[in-house]
Amino acid sequence: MIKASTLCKTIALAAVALMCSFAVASAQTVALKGKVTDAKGNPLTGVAVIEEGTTNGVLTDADGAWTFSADKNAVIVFSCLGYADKKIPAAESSSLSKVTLEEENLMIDGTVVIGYGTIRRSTLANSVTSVRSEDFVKGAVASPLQMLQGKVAGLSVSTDSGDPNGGGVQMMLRGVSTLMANQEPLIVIDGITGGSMNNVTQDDILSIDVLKDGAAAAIYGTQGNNGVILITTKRGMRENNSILYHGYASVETISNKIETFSAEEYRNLKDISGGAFTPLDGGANTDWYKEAFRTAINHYHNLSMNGGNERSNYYANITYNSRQGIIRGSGLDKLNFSVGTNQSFFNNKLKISANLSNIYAKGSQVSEEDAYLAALICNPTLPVYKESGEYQTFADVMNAARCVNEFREDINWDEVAATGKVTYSPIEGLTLNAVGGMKLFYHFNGAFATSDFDNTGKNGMAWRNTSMRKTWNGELYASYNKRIGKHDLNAVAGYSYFSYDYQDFHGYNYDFPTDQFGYNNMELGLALKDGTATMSTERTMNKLISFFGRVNYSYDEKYIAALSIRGDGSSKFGPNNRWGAFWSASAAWRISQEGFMEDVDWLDELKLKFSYGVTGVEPSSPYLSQMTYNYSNPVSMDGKYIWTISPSAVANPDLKWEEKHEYNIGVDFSMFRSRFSGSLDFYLRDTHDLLYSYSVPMPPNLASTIYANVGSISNRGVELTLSGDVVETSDFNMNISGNVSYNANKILSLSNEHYQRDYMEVGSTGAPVQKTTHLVKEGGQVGDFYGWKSTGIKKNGAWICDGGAYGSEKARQIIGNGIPKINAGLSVTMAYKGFDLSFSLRGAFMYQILNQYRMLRETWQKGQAYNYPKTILEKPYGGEYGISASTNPSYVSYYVEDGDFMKIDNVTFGYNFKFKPDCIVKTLRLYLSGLNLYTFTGYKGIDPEVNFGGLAPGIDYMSTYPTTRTVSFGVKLGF
Amino acid sequence: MKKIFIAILAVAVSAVSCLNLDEVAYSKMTADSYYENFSESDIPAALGTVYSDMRKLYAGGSPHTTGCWHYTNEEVGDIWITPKRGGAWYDAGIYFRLNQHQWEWDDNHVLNNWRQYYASINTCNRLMYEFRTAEVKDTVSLMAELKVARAFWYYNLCDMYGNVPLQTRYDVPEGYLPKTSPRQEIFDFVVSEIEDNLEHLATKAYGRWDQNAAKMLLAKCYLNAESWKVNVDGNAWDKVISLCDEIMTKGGYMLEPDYKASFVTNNENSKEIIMGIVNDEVYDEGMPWRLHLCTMHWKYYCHGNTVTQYWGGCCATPEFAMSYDPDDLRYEKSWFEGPLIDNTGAETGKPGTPLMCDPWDSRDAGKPLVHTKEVPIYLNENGEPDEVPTTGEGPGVRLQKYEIKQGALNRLSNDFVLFRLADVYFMKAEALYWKNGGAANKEVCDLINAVRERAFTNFTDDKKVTIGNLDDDRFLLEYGWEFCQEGHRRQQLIRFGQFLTKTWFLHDTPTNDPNRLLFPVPRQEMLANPELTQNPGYPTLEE
Repeated sequence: MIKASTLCKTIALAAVALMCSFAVASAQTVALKGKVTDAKGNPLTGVAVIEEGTTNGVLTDADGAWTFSADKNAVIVFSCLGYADKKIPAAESSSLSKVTLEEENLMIDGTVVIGYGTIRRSTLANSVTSVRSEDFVKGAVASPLQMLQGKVAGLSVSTDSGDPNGGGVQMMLRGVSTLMANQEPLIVIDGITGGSMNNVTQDDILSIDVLKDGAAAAIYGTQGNNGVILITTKRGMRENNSILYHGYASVETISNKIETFSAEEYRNLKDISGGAFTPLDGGANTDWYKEAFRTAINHYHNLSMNGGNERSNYYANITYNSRQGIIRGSGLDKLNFSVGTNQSFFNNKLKISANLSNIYAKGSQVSEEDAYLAALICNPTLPVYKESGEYQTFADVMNAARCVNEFREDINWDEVAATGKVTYSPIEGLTLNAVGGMKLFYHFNGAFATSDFDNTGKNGMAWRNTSMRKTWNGELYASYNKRIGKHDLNAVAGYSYFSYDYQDFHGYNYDFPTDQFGYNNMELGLALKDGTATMSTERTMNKLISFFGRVNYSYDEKYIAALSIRGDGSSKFGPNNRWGAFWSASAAWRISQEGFMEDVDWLDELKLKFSYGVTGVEPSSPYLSQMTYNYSNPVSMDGKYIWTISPSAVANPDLKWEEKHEYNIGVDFSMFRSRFSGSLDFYLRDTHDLLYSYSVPMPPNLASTIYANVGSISNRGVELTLSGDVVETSDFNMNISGNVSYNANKILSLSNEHYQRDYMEVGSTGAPVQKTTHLVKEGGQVGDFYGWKSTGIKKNGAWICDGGAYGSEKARQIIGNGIPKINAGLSVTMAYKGFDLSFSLRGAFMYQILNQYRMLRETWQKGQAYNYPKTILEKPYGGEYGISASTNPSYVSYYVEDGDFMKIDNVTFGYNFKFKPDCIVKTLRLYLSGLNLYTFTGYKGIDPEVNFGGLAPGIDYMSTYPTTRTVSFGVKLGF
Repeated sequence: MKKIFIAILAVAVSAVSCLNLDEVAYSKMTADSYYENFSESDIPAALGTVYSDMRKLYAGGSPHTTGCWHYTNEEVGDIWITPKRGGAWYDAGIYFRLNQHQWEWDDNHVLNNWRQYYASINTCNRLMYEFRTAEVKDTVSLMAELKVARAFWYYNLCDMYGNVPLQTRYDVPEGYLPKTSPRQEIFDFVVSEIEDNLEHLATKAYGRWDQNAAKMLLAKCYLNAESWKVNVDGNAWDKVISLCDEIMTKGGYMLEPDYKASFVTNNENSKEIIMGIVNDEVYDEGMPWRLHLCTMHWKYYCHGNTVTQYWGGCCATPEFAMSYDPDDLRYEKSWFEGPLIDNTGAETGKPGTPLMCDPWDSRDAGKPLVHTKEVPIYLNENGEPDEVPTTGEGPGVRLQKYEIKQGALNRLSNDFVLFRLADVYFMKAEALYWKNGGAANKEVCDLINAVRERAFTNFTDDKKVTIGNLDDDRFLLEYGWEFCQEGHRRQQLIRFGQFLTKTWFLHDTPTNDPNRLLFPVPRQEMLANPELTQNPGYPTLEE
């Protein structure tokens, strides 16, 4: 409320200031006065009250009151951002005395960012979801992208790790449409492509728009293939001089613990296991979890400042974020700052804005994944240290205490981003834009393993890696708007340039005289003198050049059409295949605007939309189209060692763009004065000429795999979003919004003109099972688990499998799929006076997870040095026999579990204090928020939210940094 | 006017660079610049790939996926085994299947041998093409070396897969798929390539295909021809004998007085080695030879004072370990038997302390860690062996023919001995033996005794082989005692007709399936190339 009025005030003031200079006094005037309120009767401050066609006007005061004189025949216009304008003739003084402004529903009438411009939602023919900051997932998010979890139908955002240094946030839009590992959407920040989430903090973001269908994303060509996430920051906002502080402190713990045997239970394991296992009692009571884990304390502080006026304003933001990490010794401290300024000249014809941001991060890591595994599998009766004072050793894993104490990696990275934009409007409707951006990413990590780290006489090991990434991008584009009668035209055309330069240096040395220097005296390691220290360097580059254009047309705001085209040229292809053309066409019909709908009062909006778009994918690595040579594997030739030179990769000069063709049909609706709204979309996306590292016969090929365009994949699905203001009273409001999406994936073919094949096998169970995990087959789905369907266990401990013996080809079958077919999210927000409560639920359904930990460790044959999951005691399938010491770890369906889950993602309870307008403090909010609070699932692993990307999705690896639960208390204070 | 020109020029120049999409290679060399700058001085670096390829016969990161030639040819025999030990070395049963002759077309050893041989053939074909393209002068000896190197890989394919595609060109049309050629064609190709190019090779060059190495390769072809069921133009045994004679008389090699001399860390000075593949712990980091890691228990680091972590898998079969004459010095020079002691004190804090089992199997709890000739197979609670028979971490004497030096890293520096003079003695003896109708004569016994002599401190008559005691079984044992761990066991068993009939530790039923004399075409390759024909008795894609 306070915010909305502030906005009104700013804009209106600016407008008034501008108009005053041209003000001309009018002859026959009348004195007018009145009061402006919103629908609930609350006074609106800062509403511009202006005599139409003139610059004569005032702003409403804190009580919503106004008074001024105007021509008696004039029409008075009331306007305020976020509310529909209202016009009342000066003669109707009774109507003027009490004016109520209706809130505009942003879902329907707000503007939507669509890339190289914005468009009113009403005239949009594509599937675009907008999420405003108030709808974000709140609390101690690890990345701003986590704020989108469960909020956008069709966009699955998952967190599969609690590693403060690892990010662990994965995104996938509308299923797997490419075989390459990168399935992440393009990030565009304030119109600058190739943005990095590192450089925005949660308090920076005003709104996020997700371009979902291929037609909307086609303007970004290859970069938009996996969808586009457009982030609008507050940097360009023109608020009054203000200072805002947001801070929170949180407590982070492991999200869930797998049940293994305690020391006491372990001692009795012979009885507990029915004689299947004889334990070794090491005499100690060790909680290996405690050796590795702790309760982490995190805190976050953000301070932002705004100032200036319509012509010249600035923005500055500084954020400090400290995360401890639940594994001892891991953590991350981040310091972000950004400054920005916007200037306008020549009556707003020329606008210049510049932003500079920097993030400095300082992280630390230990041997985390091993520490977690050790906590799971080490015998709890063995002491951490042997009698000699040395660490207890294990053949399968390193002692958890050793992982945490004797290895440390420091990670420092620094990212500087500078962007600028110049906009010039020589004539009405035409704007010329020049956008430039530069990003410099510098990364350093230094690691040291002490002489106690392992017992192989390495005597201390040190690593140092540095890398630098530079990206440049520039865009020149013009946009033109014209309205002639009922015809509304909007066109944009431009050129874009992107270049990438990467270089790195790695050094490794060991055998140090002391542990004291860490990695800071690397020359002291004797391995350097012995010739076994290593060093490596690399430098690569690539470029992407594009031309693009788009036309949006609407007739009477009823019939809408849009057309876009983009030509992308990539240096990663051979000269004949460098350029790819991507285009899209969209159309929409606003049925609710038709004359025959006039009588349907309850329906505000009903729009049918259709679109078709083509986008492309370039390979992730450069230098694939031409054969390159490199020196490697030295050999002795006639008594002297020389490097040998050979092709370093098999080139494919025919490499070309992978193409995705996407159809989208949908309907947007809104009813009962926008209290209920929603949208329903159906899509079909077919990808052809899939880029993949493909098996080829050897001979005649140099190697058994080549990077080629092979095969096609189809995804089809439906997305439903609904939102409703269920309760709307003056004191209590409740909004419920939810979304659900279903995606079905099908592999259409895996052949091209040169090579035909039916299927390939990918993924790995790991030793000692040594099987591939997934089948990629024509007619099948990405993510199909391909193993043996177990039905029971024999007396001798061997698995009984459907259709034949375990390991036999003919008994092998599809035993699940690792990608959820259904994703759903539900958010409820409630406000009662100053209190608010929101919670969001998120779920994924219809998929399976290969529980690698159970598969590899649910066997007594691991020996007495190890602990076991309690599930080992279960008799599979309720049969007569259990798992024995002769049960070999096997890739059977017993370990492929249903992953279906529903999570309480976020619960936030807050209170907003109210202040008088003249109070120094403008806003104060206190809140308590929990993230990843509880998971309803039948899955036996730690978290059913595992890696869903790539061609071998759905494997829950046993060496991992487990996911976490956080509870935060926060303060937001504004001046 | 001038200003306008400059402006136009500036726009034109920037327009060009704004559309330039050429890749700049910084850390790699493009094929164009490789050919452009190629000179005579680059030949050794290019040719060197032929020899780094040969290291892949036995070297690489893991015994499941790399260095498969060595493992495959030994694990299928009666000398060397990798039993499952507790929960370790199960590896989905791939080692057990090798032992049982039940390997599958998906097994890593089957796939990676194929891929590695053809990758190496590709190297030879490519280099021939490149040297021609770069117009290298005086290529006769260079081409000869490449052709013999290529013949070696086809020799291996002929030996292990039999019927395989014969690919001799690098520049093939797009989409070209080679077809399977019969074993005879492969054999004829190998023989003619060696015979045609032998004279152009260097007379003697350690670690390279010189005339002696090529002669030995040719002799091996003829020696195995009968067991490969291929036709030879002339008498194969006579050809073996004359080739061996040439090496023995003109090669300039000698039997080292000490059996171990050819296997020590600095064995490159051995006068016995005809074809050695050079290893070096410093230079081989990218492709390490890790035989010592495969065999020794992880606690060996403090027993042998070395700098690495061991995996402790393969060992001798009990029958073979027990077959040695007690006075045969080669036993201790080849196998490590006895307790592991913490000689450095790194494990227990007290040097000299006997080491204990981890244990990997609960039945080993509290036992001292001793490598024994016996390899007991553990029974489960039902009194049966496991599906894959299991032993503990101690049993089995370990491979140490190739010396593991003090301070050894996770890769060995000892050169790999592919061919050596003692084998020439044996090959000649074997040819004479078969020529004599599968019976020994004095010449045969003399040749074997000449090699056997150094194995005994006192080489008395009772230690010699005689016409009376040298039969097929004894001949195979002689081969085993002298050449164990060298990668030739499968061929030896096949030539003596015992590969399918003999039984040994765990391999307790004869294979009896002649199809198992060859390996299958790997499934992955069948999938990638529909023109390939599967060997008899193995699955095909249609099934």
